[in-house]
Amino acid sequence: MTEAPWRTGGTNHPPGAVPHTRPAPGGRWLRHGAGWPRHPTSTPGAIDRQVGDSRRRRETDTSPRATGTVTWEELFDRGEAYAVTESEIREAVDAVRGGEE
Amino acid sequence: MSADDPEPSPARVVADADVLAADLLVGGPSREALDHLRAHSWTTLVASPTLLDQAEAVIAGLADPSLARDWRDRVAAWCERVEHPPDDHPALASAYRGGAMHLLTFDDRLTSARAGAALQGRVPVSVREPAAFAGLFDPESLHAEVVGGDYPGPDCDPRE
Repeated sequence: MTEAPWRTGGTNHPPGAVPHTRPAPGGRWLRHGAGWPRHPTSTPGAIDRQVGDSRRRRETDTSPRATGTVTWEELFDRGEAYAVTESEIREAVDAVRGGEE
Repeated sequence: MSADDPEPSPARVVADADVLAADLLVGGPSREALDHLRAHSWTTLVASPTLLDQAEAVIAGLADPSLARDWRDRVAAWCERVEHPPDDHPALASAYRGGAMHLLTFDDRLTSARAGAALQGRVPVSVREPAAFAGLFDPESLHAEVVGGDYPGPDCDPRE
């Protein structure tokens, strides 16, 4: 059995396969990646900068999604289920403060 | 008050532990009052860890510890933290140290005329029940005073 030419060297592409490289501006074929503008994430330090930006956004964003906390809407739904009154709360606050004094 | 304490501002508000708990467990005037703050990013809820500890203990006792913990996480992400000596009244001391000119409470020992007279001249704070604060809150004039320019309307979702 004859070894496929792309396995014996010379080219990595089977006959008729579209090569992974594209012609650079001007129609000249270059090796993979050469002659093309770098993607912003491939410039030196870009990943570090993106991670830093993301971390800074998390640190300054206090929204429930960013902080991992639940929303007020959900808290109110859960809280109202206990049917507590304002006078019960006032007594409980006095008890907590009395216990600490 | 030290040089590091913020300047007193009518946009800075303290809610006593009873109002914080009632906001969560009851709704009504407490929620109406605090919704004004939640809806306007240029207002500030001020609280000390002691004040939040007490409100969390009340919520845990009347409801459940899991709800109290979730509430604490959410309110801690919202309010501005201040410190005060351990023996001080946590709501009054939070207002004094945090430059809050409004203190919301159901405690009639603080809302009484006698208490008002005792505080007058010492602490520039107006002590009111939440219903009174909610009825008097005028975002347009307050915005003009503390931010300036035209009032753009609420800029936050008070249920988020």
